[in-house]
Amino acid sequence: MPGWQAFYEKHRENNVIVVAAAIDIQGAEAARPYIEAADAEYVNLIDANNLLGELFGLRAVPNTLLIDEKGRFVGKASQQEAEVWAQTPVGAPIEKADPAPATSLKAVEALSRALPYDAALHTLRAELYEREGEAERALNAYERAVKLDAKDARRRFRYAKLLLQLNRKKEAAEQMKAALKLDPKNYIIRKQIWAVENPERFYNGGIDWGWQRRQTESGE
Amino acid sequence: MTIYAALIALAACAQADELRIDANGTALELDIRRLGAAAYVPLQPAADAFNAKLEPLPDGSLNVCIGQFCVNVRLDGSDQRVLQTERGVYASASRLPELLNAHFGWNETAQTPALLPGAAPTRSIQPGERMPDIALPDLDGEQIRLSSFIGKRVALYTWASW
Repeated sequence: MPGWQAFYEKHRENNVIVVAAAIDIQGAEAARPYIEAADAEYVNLIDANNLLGELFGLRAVPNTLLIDEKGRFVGKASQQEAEVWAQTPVGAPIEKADPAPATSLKAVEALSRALPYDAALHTLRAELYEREGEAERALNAYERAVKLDAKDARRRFRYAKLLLQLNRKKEAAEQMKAALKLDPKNYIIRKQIWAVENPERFYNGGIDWGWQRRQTESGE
Repeated sequence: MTIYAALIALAACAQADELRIDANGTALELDIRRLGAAAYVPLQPAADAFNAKLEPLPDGSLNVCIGQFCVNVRLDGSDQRVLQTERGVYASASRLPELLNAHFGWNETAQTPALLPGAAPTRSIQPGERMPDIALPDLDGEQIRLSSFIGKRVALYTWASW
């Protein structure tokens, strides 16, 4: 996370903060060594479901995304563009919004019973079971959704994350590979597969860039 | 009962042809259309319950507007949220909330699913739009809501260990 601590110190007087989010299906433990080594004052979050990737349509990392003081997305930026943006004057602080309402699991279960062939409802149900910590039910719901509609990369990625959490690495890799086939230019999925299948190339004293280049060239 | 009649009865049990839902306080019985692995219901009655206006645009697409909040949908078959039928525009049942700035809740009185005002966190965003209120954990597992940064300008940096 080069340069962000300096950016944070330089611009915090101007009401700018830095939030770093690790898009990592493997969760906090994969990201922790890097965050602890950076020893930064800014906020560090873990995005194991690639929520931010979906939200901003990201297909690779890293990215810098700017959000204004009213909570509106400004756009993607280079670090240089972020510097210019951070120095522009800001408006008066505004009131905080109410948190977004939560979707009712009971309602989605009822809809899913009435419309049992609807893959998106099973996916939504799975995501809500995950929220409740009901892993087995979530797995069943993802499985039904994938059987009904095999062509949704987002669904397979989330299914893979849950499988990985349950230490079912082989099945997780299968789902991720299927997701990549559906979205072949998505380097978030591609490199995540490499990291899960070849941890020694990533987590033993630095990232093996030469190996990654060869992987890309061989089309893996 | 013949086997054939029994099969028809079984099919009728397995799949409803009408969906009962409460939309912003209005009880609706919506006709269901199935397309592959997705169910569609008429958009107009649900939109009416939210005082949403359906505004056709010159390019053939449709704006679903509640006050100044509009969602644009394409009716040429490339947009999975909607389905153009001979009986008007149908919306994907699972994605009605996105179109009406609503979320799925539960109506205790009617014991049916309900569409309630206020959007749950959404899936994708364009510049100028308000960020959904996503919550992500920090290293200690504490959930941090993006709405907690409102009032500050945020440089959000995404990275990965791989």
